[in-house]
Amino acid sequence: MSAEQPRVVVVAGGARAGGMGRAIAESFLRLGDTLVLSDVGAPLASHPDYEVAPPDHLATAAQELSTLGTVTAVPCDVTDEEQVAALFGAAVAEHGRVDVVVNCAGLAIGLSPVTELSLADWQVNIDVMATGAFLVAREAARRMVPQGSGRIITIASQAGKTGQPLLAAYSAAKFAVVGLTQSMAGELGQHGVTVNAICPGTIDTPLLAVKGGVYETFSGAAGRTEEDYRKRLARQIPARRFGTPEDVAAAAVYLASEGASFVTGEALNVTGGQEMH
Amino acid sequence: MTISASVPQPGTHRSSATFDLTDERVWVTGASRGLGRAMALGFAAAGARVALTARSADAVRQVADEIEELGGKPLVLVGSVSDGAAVDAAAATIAEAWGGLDALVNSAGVSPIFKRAEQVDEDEWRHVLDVNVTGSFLCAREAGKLMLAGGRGAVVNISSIHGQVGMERMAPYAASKGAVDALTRTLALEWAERGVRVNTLSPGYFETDMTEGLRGHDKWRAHLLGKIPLGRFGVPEELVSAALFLASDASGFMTGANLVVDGGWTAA
Repeated sequence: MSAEQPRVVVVAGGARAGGMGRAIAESFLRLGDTLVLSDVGAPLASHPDYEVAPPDHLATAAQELSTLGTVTAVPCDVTDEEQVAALFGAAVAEHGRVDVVVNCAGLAIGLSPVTELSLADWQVNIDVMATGAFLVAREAARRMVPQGSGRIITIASQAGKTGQPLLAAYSAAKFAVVGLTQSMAGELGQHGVTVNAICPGTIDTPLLAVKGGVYETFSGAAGRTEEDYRKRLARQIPARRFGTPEDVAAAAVYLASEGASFVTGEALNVTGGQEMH
Repeated sequence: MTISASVPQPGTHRSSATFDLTDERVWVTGASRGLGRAMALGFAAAGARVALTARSADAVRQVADEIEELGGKPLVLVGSVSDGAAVDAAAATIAEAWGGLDALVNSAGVSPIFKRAEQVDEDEWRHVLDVNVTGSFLCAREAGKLMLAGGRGAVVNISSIHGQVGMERMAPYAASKGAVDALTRTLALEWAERGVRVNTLSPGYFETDMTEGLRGHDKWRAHLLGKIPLGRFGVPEELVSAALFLASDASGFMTGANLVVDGGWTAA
């Protein structure tokens, strides 16, 4: 990675306004990097009613972000290996290389007791967050190994460190992300590629508020209003506040920086003290 | 200590995000050599005002001279971190000179003694724990008082991967670093609400005085490198960058975390 040349940064799952991916994309652009932005852009086949970022969000996000630097928008379903290959193909065709990849694609489906968790809800968690993490990281590695350098950043969760009630499918998928990250770090170190996970805690993003998401599910389970639940949740966080997408973006910027070149296989908690392991 | 201040305008690229600590008041312990020395120089270069603690007056003076040559005005505080009176006096000097404190880099520590456990005597054991555990606690306690009074601050405790993974011939050292990890978590919980963050920085094997013997020994060198996926030892600057991140507002939502900088040792 030359300091003179802008890095080429691929951010998957980065279109939703107010989301972590969007903040991460913005942070890299502000550093002068070139951005390749993707998002799914179409309803999930298995869950057509789930509120993914609407299709026009990617174009809108790319347009808004382009005031900060060069942005190439490529729709991509991270569960589809051909689309993932096409995403990286487009990045390389347009910009010649891929230096940093951050995959933020995630969802909030199937927040329910295990006894009521459907196979379809379980599967979409595994597909999007575990298999999606694998496909994106694999394709990134295929591009980075020949380059002899690169940074792969996966987004896990505090739920990828400690399982939580009503989050079985999500936790399982996020544990998978941490395992994938460690395995890949071990394999790719010799090629100059680092692989690290960020484990965000409770971050104030639209994902918490989607239908069937954390607010609705956990406030319902506790018999409280969403507002009351939010206040109680903040009190359970040692820092007494929710994280911001920018808190997570700063960690991604660090992990992608030259200064973090000896950091690999890490699963970095950004949780305000909610998770310490 | 804001990240925004360190972010250049679009078009001016900087892949090495350095976290701005301009005018922040930072106490670095063990500042006379090794990683502590690198921390002192690195924080001063990032714009921080630094207070340097070490046992050797001459050695810490040399580091202070280097910083002064770069235009800094370091405070020099001679004494052992395991000596409560010396730590209290250091904190009092900082309070008087600066009126408060923004960050502590708890980097004072003693090296492993490389003996099998059955050959470690009680004095050797106590010495390692005195410096690495009690010293870290005393400095964190006194720094914590200053930072809690100011309503914000960051403690960076330097541990080791051997707080998490075992290593033969390292019983006292590994035990001491495990204690540091536990200390971090408890302090983080106690102080989070009052704006003081506490995190651990766990180095693997770096090119420092502490590892010189190991790195120069053919068999050990190969053994160690075989455990590091990146296939090399770290350089101190790579630990300094992590400490700058943990001391800056860029890590504002991180507390009780353990940032491991080990080339992948503990992941594999």
